[in-house]
Amino acid sequence: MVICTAGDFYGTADIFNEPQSHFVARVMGDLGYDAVGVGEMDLNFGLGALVGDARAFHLPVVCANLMAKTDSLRVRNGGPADRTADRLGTAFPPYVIVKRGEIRVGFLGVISPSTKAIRGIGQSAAQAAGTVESLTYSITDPAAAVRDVGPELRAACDVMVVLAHMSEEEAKTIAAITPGIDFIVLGHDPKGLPLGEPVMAGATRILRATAQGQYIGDMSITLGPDRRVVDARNRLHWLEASLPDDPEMAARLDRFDEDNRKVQKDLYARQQMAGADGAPASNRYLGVGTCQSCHLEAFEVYTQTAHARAFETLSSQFVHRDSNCVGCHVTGYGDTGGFSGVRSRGAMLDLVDVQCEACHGPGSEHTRDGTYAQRAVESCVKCHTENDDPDFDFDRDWPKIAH
Amino acid sequence: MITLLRTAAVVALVAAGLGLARAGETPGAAEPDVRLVYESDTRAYYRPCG
Repeated sequence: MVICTAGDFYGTADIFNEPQSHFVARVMGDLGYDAVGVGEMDLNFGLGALVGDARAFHLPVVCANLMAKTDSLRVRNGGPADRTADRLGTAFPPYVIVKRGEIRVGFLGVISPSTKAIRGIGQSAAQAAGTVESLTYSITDPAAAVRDVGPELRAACDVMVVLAHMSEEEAKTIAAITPGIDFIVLGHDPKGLPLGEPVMAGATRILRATAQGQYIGDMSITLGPDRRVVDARNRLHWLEASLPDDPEMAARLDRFDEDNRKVQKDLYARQQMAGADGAPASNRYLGVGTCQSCHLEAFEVYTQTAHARAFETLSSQFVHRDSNCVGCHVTGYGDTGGFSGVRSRGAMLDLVDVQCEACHGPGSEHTRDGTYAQRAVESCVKCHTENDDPDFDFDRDWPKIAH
Repeated sequence: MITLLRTAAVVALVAAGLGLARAGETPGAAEPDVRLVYESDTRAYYRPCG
């Protein structure tokens, strides 16, 4: 057996998710993942966090088009791909070769820049695509990277797998220009359904186990005398509720949860204390009750919207303590004076749900020059992301909350 | 976090050669040369937020 992921194992980009994300990375290392692709979520805490986890937990991260801008952010594993990694300047080796008996399985990783590009209002992910540049890394053309490195890996392995964090269409392009890829495992595509049968692109089988870890794919591969794939049978394991938990992992999660509760409490406390030295916090949330006193008509519209019931959608599914979810269902999560999750005695503010300040910003920053209103227009895509709301369309959806 | 629990369970089953056979399949028949276990998106939560 060989086990791999096409990426996105970190949570959303706020400080409350970071401990949980590192824990997931640690467990993946312990479970013995053979190859780990990079998704845009895995860059949420900076390239340094991913590099640190890869080193600490022996995660075999591979990516041929994620370039590090300093040597300290370059991970090498002593394998044959190191020389290619140095030539390209990648953060991680572009590929890894895993041996099972006499059979060599090669994994090459790539990420589409479109997954990391920040969309503007009315802009699709494809329109925002292009090379991504940050202070510490860049993401270059994945097709060019596979075309460059693919032949080298093909010559050195029996089964070639590309971990491709991108859309199905982008993967088909890669398959068309790079012969010899046996399998492409897709990540990211939020609209993509699990593929019970692979999509064929020439001789390449494109696989997808679908979003949010709901399925695990399991491909049985048979090779011919020339060590080429002659039979491939796919099955999907749905991680549904009747599947028994692994008892050792359950105990480990319980211990982590207990420790993490203390960490989260400390993070909340530090956040709430940020303005407690006598000086007012730079941003103060006032709560929808304050807004209502001057903007009654807007408040009445708000009470009829899904934003006003956002927290209930979590609590009704018992995920209201999941830090991956909470940020987009409350007001000011992660900000000084924002939703704390802790109802302290005497606290009058109730920052559950997506209140006015979730979109406009803290009430203490209220202005009358139009900028406070305009800011809300630009903030939708912080939560209505390509991943979590792929069908979001500002022009179509605005009338639902027009005020 | 539910995902990790069940991922671990599936990995253990597949590693033991048990898998979760489809109806009509005979366990142990025509053993493959390699089993590729794969995930497309490993995010730590299982259910959509709402």
